[in-house]
Amino acid sequence: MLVILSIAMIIADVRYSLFAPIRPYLTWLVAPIQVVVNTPQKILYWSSDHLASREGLVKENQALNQEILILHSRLQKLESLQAENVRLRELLDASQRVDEKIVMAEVIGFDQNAYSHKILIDKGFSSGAYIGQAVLDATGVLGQVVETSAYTSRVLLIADASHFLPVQLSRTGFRSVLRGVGDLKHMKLMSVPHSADVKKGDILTTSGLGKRFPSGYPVGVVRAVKHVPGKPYADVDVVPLAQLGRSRHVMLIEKPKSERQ
Amino acid sequence: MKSFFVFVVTLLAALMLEAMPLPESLVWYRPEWALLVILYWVIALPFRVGVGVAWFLGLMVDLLQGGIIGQHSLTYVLIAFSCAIFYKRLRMYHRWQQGIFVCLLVSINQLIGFWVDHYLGNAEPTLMIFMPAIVTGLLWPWSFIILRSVRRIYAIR
Repeated sequence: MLVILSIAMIIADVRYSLFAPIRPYLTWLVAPIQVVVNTPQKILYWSSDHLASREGLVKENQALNQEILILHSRLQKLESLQAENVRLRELLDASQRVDEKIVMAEVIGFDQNAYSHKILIDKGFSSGAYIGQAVLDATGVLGQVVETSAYTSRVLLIADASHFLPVQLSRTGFRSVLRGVGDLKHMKLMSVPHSADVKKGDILTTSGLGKRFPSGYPVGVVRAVKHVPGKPYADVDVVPLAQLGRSRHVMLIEKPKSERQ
Repeated sequence: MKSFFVFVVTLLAALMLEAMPLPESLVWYRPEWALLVILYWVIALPFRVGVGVAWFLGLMVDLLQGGIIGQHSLTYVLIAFSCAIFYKRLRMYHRWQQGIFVCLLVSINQLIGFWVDHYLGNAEPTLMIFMPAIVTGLLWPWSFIILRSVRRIYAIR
């Protein structure tokens, strides 16, 4: 009886998403457990934030100030480049890229399931998070929102075995799809012909195809290209740029409503 | 009432251990805590703890891990059922022999869970799925002693 019920629930969840609307409420059942279990980590974060020495803080402050200066000078250049880009696009009659709005979020938990690679963040639909939203960290693309409740969201990492990300080689413009293999340290580039110009060290960026991720954000670096005789495609190993297992602060890229799926 | 309270506390402890954050490198070495506890209760008190409790616990694990609802319920029910069939024989075994049997049961649990995940395209085949089974089997004798002393202290039967 219970076996049939369980199988029915699996099918209901996966095929028909019947549990999607009540899942936030069901999750309340286990929320106390999550709170208790995450407390030591919270204490650790809190103490590293609050118990820092004065010299350390001063040093960090100086370093950050310097970084701000450097970034500001780069930003000035970027602004002129952006203006130039818009002008050139107007000349070409191409559509302009709109500036995306960014919401910061903090990682509050990792899924403790060896098969799936998801993280929990502290922004939900009350802060504008929506399913399918792209999530970045400071160094690269992290994943996408797959589940939202009022104050938290689950983010599927790009390294999850069920995640596929349309990418482009920044050097050649070659387009392909990046597949997660369930390991945070490497991913695979799909369907790369043996003749394609892909080299170790090439940088992959999002191509913007599929309309879910905005284009032009860095994703990963090619670590190795293997040509196995007899296989139809080259075996391309990619290291993600984002700190998939370690990032604490992430950015949610908000697209205008009309461009969402 | 007292026994109900003890069941709830041990199962809650198992769920907490199940949800405890682990470093990425150790994620495959996490024992199946919830299964470990439910197996003990099924062997010790097969007429009080059975597939129903296992099903509910599986549901809790699914919610806790954010997985597919029903996946752990399914495997826990199957494992608790096979354990409930063999409980008389299992009680005769030495603790390490029981550990081997538990290892086998958890392997089956992992395999079914993996089939579900793989069928849905969420998992890549790897032999590491049997690692939790081995760890759980090795932990069995000690958790058996701890849970038995809990059962004796509170005189639950």
